[in-house]
Formats: sequence, structure tokens, C-alpha cells
Amino acid sequence: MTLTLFRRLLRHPSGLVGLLLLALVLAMSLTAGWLFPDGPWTMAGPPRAWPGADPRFPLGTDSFGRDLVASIFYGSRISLMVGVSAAGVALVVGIIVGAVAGYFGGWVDDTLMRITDAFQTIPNFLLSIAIVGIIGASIGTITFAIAIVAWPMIARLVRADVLRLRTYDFVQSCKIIGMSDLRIIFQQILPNCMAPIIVTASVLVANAIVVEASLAFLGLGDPNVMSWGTVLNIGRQELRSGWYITAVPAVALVVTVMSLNLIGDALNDVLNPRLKERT
Amino acid sequence: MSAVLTTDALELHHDTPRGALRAVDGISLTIDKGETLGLVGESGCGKSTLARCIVGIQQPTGGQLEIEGVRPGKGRAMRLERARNVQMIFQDPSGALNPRLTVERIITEPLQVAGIGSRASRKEAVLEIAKKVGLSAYHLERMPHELSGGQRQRVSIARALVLNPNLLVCDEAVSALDVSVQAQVLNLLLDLQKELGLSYLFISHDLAVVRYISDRIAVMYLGRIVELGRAEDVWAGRLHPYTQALVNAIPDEAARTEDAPILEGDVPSPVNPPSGCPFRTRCPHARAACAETRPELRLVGTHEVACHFAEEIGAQVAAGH
Amino acid sequence: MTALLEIENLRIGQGNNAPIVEQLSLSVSRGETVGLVGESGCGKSLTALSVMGLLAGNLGVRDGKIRLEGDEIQSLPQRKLRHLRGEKMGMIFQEPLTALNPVMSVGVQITEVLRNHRGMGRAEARTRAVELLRLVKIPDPEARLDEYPHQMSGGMRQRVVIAIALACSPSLLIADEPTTALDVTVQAQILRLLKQLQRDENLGLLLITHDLGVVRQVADRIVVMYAGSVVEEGLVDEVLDNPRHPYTAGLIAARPSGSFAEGAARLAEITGSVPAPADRPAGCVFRDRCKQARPECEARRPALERAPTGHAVRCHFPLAEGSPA
Repeated sequence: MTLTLFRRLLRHPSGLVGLLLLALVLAMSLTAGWLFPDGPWTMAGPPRAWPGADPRFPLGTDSFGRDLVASIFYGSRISLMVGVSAAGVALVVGIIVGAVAGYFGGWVDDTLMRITDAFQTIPNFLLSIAIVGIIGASIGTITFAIAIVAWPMIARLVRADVLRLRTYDFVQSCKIIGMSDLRIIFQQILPNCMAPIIVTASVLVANAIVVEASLAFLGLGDPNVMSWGTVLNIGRQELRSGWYITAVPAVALVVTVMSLNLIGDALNDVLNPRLKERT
Repeated sequence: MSAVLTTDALELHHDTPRGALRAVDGISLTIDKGETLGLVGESGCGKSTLARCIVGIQQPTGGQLEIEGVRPGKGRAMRLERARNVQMIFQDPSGALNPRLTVERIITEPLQVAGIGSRASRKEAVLEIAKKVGLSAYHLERMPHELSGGQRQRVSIARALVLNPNLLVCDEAVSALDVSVQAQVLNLLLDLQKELGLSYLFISHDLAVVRYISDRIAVMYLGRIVELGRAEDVWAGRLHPYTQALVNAIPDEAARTEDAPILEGDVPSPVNPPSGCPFRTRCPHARAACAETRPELRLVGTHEVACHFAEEIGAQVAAGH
Repeated sequence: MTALLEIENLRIGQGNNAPIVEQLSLSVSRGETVGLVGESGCGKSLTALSVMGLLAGNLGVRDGKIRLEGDEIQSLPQRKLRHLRGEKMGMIFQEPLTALNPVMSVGVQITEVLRNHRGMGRAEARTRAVELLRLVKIPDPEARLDEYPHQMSGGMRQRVVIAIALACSPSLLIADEPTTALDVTVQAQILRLLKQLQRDENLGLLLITHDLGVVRQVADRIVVMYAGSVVEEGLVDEVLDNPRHPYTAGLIAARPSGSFAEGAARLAEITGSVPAPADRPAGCVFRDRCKQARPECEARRPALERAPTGHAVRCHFPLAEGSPA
């Protein structure tokens, strides 16, 4: 199943482009330690070297003389890690809350959905800033801050699907044979609503990467790690004299986010073939 | 003869903003071993809700229910016990099967949940029941969407029968099928009944199908039974005006003449149903007395009818012949 | 008398796949009800949609002619077809709830048709809408105009759909399983209404259904379809009392009658199920489910042979006249 999904994704034009771009970013994060054994923080050359000015630094150096290529390579690790783990946490929380609310209904549903509403009424980014501001900036807290604003969307999505599926006769039939509620939810219902979840997951990862970069850009990033946002933050102070410092991580962000969105689009087409036929 | 199912004044009322919805409003019936009770009525009469109360996916709000002489209780052990006695098949054979599981897995699930047998013995039991319902090892490896409607209904039947229940509730089990496939499934149900000594509660809106397959027929209207008796007694000697209307509504040659009486209007809402006799708002024989007291099911001639004027209507019918 | 609707050798296909409907010919005259009968997947609904010009996606008419009052319509541009759909043909669907727009009142939905097709003013359209609701026997029509579909029962909704179909006084009415989603007592009302309207308005009615009883009650002629083509055709009583195609006979015998417990015979089954268009057998499409099948049935496809009485059958070895069904 997973394998055929991957193959069908490769056959889809935007899926192929998306996967290639994502593979590029993944390769950057995997080879960073091997290509740049000294790490991203080393002041390797003259500060503010423009791209192309020094053949040792094809993308130039920042205001501390750090190699921007190394920063981007190392930064991809942080961006991907934060993106994937924040999306993962949001998915787990969202799926559990949505499935339980949709399946049991009644007061359980009311309670869980009011909590979900409460999270959705606060502007997402402000909430993330507030959380990081209060408990301090580290990779863990940033992941947490991103996940906590992202799960309500998943919860609503899953709840709507579970509400629909729980009325199906096959679910009734599982109740009649005495199957436990948890098993009905996780084994019978959820596998049938994976399609929209998978599509949303790719968008969620992209979103998390952007939020992490935004936090770092505002100086709320983890000071101990080099992320694309860190570079953006450094570049911000030099925006007039050395705009390339901002542009380089920005391009990396755009490519990554675009690759994930392309994959999301392709997944949507591949998982809902009927939708495409109609148009 | 021992009763497989007994209900006594079974009720299921929901609270709605507009008042109590009386989905099931005092149903008393029994089904004996090896017997088919046909339950006929239109949408909203409560026949599906009654089925759901019997198999335990809805909880009655009043009255008694006994399966094999035992009142089913809550708790996991009781649920499993009930599952081994009563099973159900549904109308839409595609919605009744999980689209992501193989047929084999679908039929095995009841055994797994009940913790019966080893992996190997379960496999054997599944193949055996599959053969009984006319499926082969080939079908067991398929996914539901690869099968035809009739085959899917056979899968549903196999899943329901793999636990060897005594009572099978068939909720519009052949209504979604094409006529030729419907005949296959009806014949299969009759064969299985003979072979396994099953009892059926056969629910349908189609009186001709119910008459064919049932030993006894119960006619339901707005949550209550209005006529109950042996199939041919109810069909040929129908006394309740509603049963008569149902028979007259069956489309065929006889209905071609436009002076044949047909029922006007729609089924009223089960929220705040009419006072007295629930059928009086559509009944051609209704009189003042019908609005005052609710007729109870009583023996008139060969079978039971809930109508104040059953004798009179019976005499009219007799005179008409 | 020229036929109102004539379909000649129609073939409907999806993309380049095997045709779903083939060699289909039928006609409907004014004042006549034709019952088009078949099981799911036989192509009866596609036939109706092709007449209305409503085939969607990559489904299309691949061959054949569709004539309405003598004019060929299968090649007309969409704009002209849309005009014809309101003016000369009306259609009634199985599920009245989805055939109506849930956010518009019934009155708006009827007057919209009148204003678009007939260019009526607001007041005039409303008066006509009340007339139409009265025609389909909706009690208290003035008040009902302002109701929304969800406030009505299934039977009332189907009456509204019929009223919309009749708004521009079409000559042809196509009803696709119009009573299948309704309760039996309501079905009886709607069937009687359709029959009355057909007679009073002198309509040609093409009634598509899976239910032989409905055909027997309402139709004058019957066309039986199996796996994409017509297998038998004729006057209702003649065909249903003396079916000559084994499939028609099988359908009749598969219908329960009597009580099994009181000695009624076991139902006659038609074994197997309807093949998908790509899996239809060569020769006679029914042969692998037919008890009478012989080698000739595989060798070549039977033609639709018409007896002088008009009773037509597509079978090499039709059942004898008067043989029990």
C-alpha cells in the first residue's frame, strides 16, 4: 500500500518535482556533517563576503564571516526536524482528540470541541510567540509551541470524518460482534480517513518549518542551534548592506515549503482519483 | 417450543426539542426457534430502531428484552455473549463491509473478538461458513469493492453466522439488491434456516417479500404493532386498514384501475404522534372513538389486530368477496 | 403517427472502453407510457441521460440517432439542448431531495424555470407555479410555495420535482426510478399521479424502473434491457404474460409470490450477476446465465426479431408462446 502510493506519487508531475526537491533538502541535512566537519558556527573567512566574491564561499559569508553554505546545510537539519516533529505531535494529538470526540459524541464531543475552539480563537502565531517567550527558547519548546497551535485543525478534520464513518453499517456491525470502542476507532474507522490526514500532514510540516523560521527571525529561536531562521535573523540587521544574507535562507525556505505543497497536491490527486476525473 | 427472543412492552423514546420521539412505543413479540418473523412497515415506523435495540447498539428506555431467556446486560462478557446469540445483516451491502479489509479478515473478525479458536481453526471455520453461503477461497482473498452486490451480501451473512447465532436480524437485507440477486439471497436464507435451525427477524418495507419468507408477520406503524399473525392470515385475512393499504399499494395489474383505494397523506412524525389510534389521521374508517382511546392488540378471528372496528371491517371485507 | 421520441441504434461509451449501451432502439409516442426495465448497470439510466443531453465526463453517445419530434438532437450544441430540456422534455429523478436546491424555496425553484424559459414576470410566474402545484395535487399550494425542500416529506418533494419538470408543458417526460426512494403508500400516490398527468396532458412518458410491478401498473409498452441492449419489447400484458426471452421470464419468476411456509415454490434464481461492460460474453450477452444456452448462442449475437404483433425478442431460441414464465 505504502509502496504503491509512493510509486503513484512518482508518476504524478508535481509529486515528482516535489519529491526531488525534498530529496535535495534531505541530502543537504544528511551530508552537512561530512561536508562541513567544523560546524556552522566557525568564522571561516572574511565577514560580509558577497556570493561569488570568494571562491571558497560560493554563497558568501555573514557578518561574522561564517560560511552561508554551511549554515544552510546545517539549518536544513533543524528545519526538517522541527517541521516533522511538530507536525507529528500535532497529528497524534489532533487524531486522538478528533476521533474520540467524533466517535463518542455527546458531552465528550462538546467538551473536546470547546477546548479546540479555545485554541483556534487565539491567533496562532501570537500564541506560539507567547509560549516561547514564557517558557524560553529551545528546540523542544519551539516544537511544542508550533504543535500546540496546529492540532486543532487536524482534530476538526478527523472529527468530521469519524462522524460520517461511525454511522456506516460496518461500524455498527463491529459493535454487534462486541468489538471494543478503542479497537473500532483505531482499527476500523481511522484507516478509512487517512487520505485527508496524509494530505494535511504535508502542509502541516511546511507550515511548521515557516513558523520555526519566523520565530527565529524575531530572535525567538534556539540560540544554540543554527537554523534558517537564525540566518534570517542575522541578515535582518544587515538588510540594506547585505540583502543576500536574508535571501539565501529565504530561497531555501521557499524551495522546501514548495516541495511539500507540491507533494500535498499530488497526494490529494492520487488519494482522491475520482475528484480528478470529474474536472 | 422455546423462544429465542421475547420483548415485552419494549420502548425507545428520545428527547427532542419538540417533545418525545417515540421510535419504539411498546412492542411485545416473541420469535421461536427456527421461526421467521417478518416485520413490515414504512420508513419512520421504528422497525430499524427495534432491530438495533435487539442487537444491542441502542438501549431501550423501557420494557423488557430477553434473548434465549436471558436479559442482556452491559459489560464486555455480556456483550460477547449477546453477540454469540444475535447477529444482524444490513441493507447496503457495500456500507456493511469495511472497504480496507479483505473478505477473509471481515469474516474472521467476530471469532477474533470473541477469542474463539486458534489462528488455524479460525481459518478453517471461515472457509466452512464461506462455502455454506456460496463463496469460495477465491472470494476470501478479495476486497469488498471487487465483489458484486449479491456476493457482498453473502459476505455479510457469513460474518453474521460465523459465531453460530440462533437469531439473525435482517434489516432490509434484500431491498438494495436487483430482483434476480434478491431471489438468490432469499433462497440462501431459507436454505441456511433449514440447515442451521436459525430464527430470523426479517425486516422489510416490501410486503410481498415478507409474506414469502415469513412464518408470521407483524405490521408496524408509528412505533407500534398494528397487526400480527401467521403470514397467510395477515395477508389474506388482513383486518387493519393500514395492512390493507399496504397490500393495495403494491404496484401490479390490480392497481391499474384508478378507483382502487389508496392511502392519502404521509406518515405523521413520531414526535407527538396523533392521540388515540396513531393511524386515524390517514384511516378511511376513522371515527370519533379513534381519537380518544388507543386500540390495543387483540385477537380477532385468526390473528391479532389493534383496531377498534376490526370486526366491522372484517365483515365488510367478507361481504366484498 | 410519428413518434415523439425515437432512439435508433444508440451506442454509449466511456472513453475508448467497451460500449456500455449498444444497438439500443426505442420509441415513445405522444400519450403513451413506455416502461424501460432492467437491473442496475444495464444502461437504462444512461439512455435517459443521453436523451436529455446530460451525459457527463468522458461518457458520450458514440453512434446512433436520437430524434425528438423528428428532429435529431444528439448533435445539437449545449445551448439549444438546454432550451429543449425545459421546453420539450422534463425529467424526474430518483432522489427528490438531491434534485432540489436545499437553500431555495420551492416557489423560487419553480418560478425560476418559468422566468428563464418563458420570460414570465414575477407575478405571472407565481400564479403559474401555484397552478402547477395544484396540478400535482399539493394541498394548500399558495402556502407551500414559500417552504424549503427540507420542510417537506419525500412524497411532497417528488411532487415538486414533477411540477418543475412540467413547468413549460413539455411533450416528453422522462422519469428515472421516480418512486424507488419513496415509501410504498407514497409510491402508490405518485404512480397514480404520473398516470393521470400523462393522460390529461397527453404526454409521452418514458418510465425507467427496476420494478416489473410498476411497469405493469403504469406502462402501455415495456422495453426490457440487459447488459446494455434491448432483449425484449412489446405491449406490457403481452410481454409479462408471455415472456419470450429467458431473461424476462427469469425476472418474473424471481419475484416472490405467495408464502414459502404455506407451500409456495422456491424462487427461480438467475445464477451469477450482470457482467461489467468489458466482461460481456461474445455472442448473446445473456448466454452464461441462461439455462437454455446452446453453442449457437456463443457463435453469434442474436438480432432483435419483431413479430407482427410488435412483440420483439433478441434470442436465438425464444421461449414458446404461452409457455409458463
